[in-house]
Amino acid sequence: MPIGVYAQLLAGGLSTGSIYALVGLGLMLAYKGTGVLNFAQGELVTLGAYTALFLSLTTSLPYWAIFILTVLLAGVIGVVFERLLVRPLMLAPEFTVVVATLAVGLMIKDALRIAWQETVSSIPSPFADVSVRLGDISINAQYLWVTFCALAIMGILALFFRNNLAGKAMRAVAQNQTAARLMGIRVNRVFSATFALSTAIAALAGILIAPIHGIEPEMGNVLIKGFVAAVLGGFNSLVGCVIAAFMLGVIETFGGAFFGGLFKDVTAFALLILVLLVRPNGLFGSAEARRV
Amino acid sequence: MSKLLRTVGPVGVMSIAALVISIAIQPWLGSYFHYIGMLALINAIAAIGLNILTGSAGQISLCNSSFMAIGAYATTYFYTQMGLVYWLSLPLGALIAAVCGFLLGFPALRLRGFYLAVVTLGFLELTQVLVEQLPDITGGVRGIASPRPYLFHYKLSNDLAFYYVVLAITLVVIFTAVSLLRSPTGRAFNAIRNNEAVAQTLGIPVARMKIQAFVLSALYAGLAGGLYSTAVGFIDPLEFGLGTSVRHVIYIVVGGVGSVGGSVVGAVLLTFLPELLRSFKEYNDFVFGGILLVSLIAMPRGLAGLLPKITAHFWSRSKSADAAGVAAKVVP
Repeated sequence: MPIGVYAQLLAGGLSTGSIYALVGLGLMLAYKGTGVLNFAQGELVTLGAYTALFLSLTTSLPYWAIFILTVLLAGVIGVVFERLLVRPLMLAPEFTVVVATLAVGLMIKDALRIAWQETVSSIPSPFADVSVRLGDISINAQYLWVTFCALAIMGILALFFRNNLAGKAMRAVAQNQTAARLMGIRVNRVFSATFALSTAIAALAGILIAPIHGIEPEMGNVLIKGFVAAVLGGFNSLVGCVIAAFMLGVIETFGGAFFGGLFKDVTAFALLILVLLVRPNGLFGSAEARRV
Repeated sequence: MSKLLRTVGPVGVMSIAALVISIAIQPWLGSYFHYIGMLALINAIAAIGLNILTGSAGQISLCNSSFMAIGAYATTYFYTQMGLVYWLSLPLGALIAAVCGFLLGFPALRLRGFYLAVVTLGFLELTQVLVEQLPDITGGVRGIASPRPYLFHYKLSNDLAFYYVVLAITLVVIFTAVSLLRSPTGRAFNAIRNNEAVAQTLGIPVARMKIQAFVLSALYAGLAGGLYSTAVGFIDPLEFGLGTSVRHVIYIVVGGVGSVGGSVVGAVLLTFLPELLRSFKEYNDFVFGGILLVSLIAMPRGLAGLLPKITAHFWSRSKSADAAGVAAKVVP
């Protein structure tokens, strides 16, 4: 196979992995901050994509404006989501959390399906029809843009958690809510902010994936891949999650190209089981004590 | 008569009434009701299976529909392609599902809570993919036909006839499940759900019991799957997606987590409900999601938890206190 094909596969794999990374990051942020693992995260991706689609159909705004507006709107949706669903669930048993978030996800999916039917739509992107040429190799610019965005989000989040006061407050709440409250942190606001951030990242994933895979109600199935990325990364580190997601994306893409679709679809689950059995704290995580 | 009522108790009276209705009323209703009745009972079997694992042993599972799928495809394969007798194919299909439950039980042993939910969700996706990618066995996305069997040279193509077969099997399932949950095994499941560490110190082999819960749950779900394929006559992977699993969860949440009777009531009610609301067919998932959220908030112990409160109003005072107390203990 010519080198160009490898390069294209790699770019495709990295961009797929980027979407997984964004989903995984959103899941991890919300879980760390509030203790609620959100099984509706996939549907928040779908919702973001449909918001962008709605904006691009009803207004004549350029891509960038839609991009920013959708992410901001998603932040608002995230705050509402947190107030209505997550806060009542925070002290509930895990079973209730899983079931309730799944139910809300199903409801979002069904509402979108009723509103838009089963049609696959897309939003125009300035990168979709452009290809970047490096000698003999040409790569679709959307792939590079997606990968760039995932890396940028990872970098911004890392800086945010390290240097920004709000980021530090989020970390404090994740570690110990009571202590954080005693330090004068408004814990409830941090919860809202965490979900705003998590939902905005999900919407970003939706906008980015739309020109590649199209917008349809089943987009939310990416959830499980995001889980796998977050679990492989140890559910603890931003960088770990992104690296794991890239690995998953690349393995899937190359495996799919060489061994067929079955391999591609089975990889994620096989990796998940393998890692949970061999290294329950992920490839990059450290062991954690559990209180009985 | 009133003495008899007192000894049987409100739950007993209702069960007997339900049984009489389910046997006697069906011939007077149209074949559409026979069909929905079959589906309701099959859903009840699947819900009982999930209830053993999730309600009793406390292990979250989102892949109940996958075990149903495995049972359905295995039964169809044995019956149509290997030419086995149906009454052998059905238990064999359930057995295959149980073996898969056994295999999934091992990785699941080391996991709890959210991680377990994620792994079972992954197993669901995996099963979906395998069904789609192995069209030689499963018919792939186009699905596969599953004809009705013969019983002593009599073809059960009539929905009413097959309904009675399903009803008989359901009664056996209910009886075995109730006995199981009252046996030491069921008590061990309860102990594990309440506190694993304590269960361990009490000498309960936690790992073995958990795998046992997975196997039993998969066995029931597989049986439900086998019956489903035959009842409907045609199966495709869409029938066994996440939506179906979540629906099983809704049955047990609405009926009452941990209660066999609750599972049956939840499954039967929620199978008939969408048929009554046919004009809302499009909104099915929406309505079900809403029902689930409302019952999680308004009645965390489901209908089975409400029963003692309701009967306390109608039953004689002294007996009602006892019944409520007993029911509260039996229904965890």
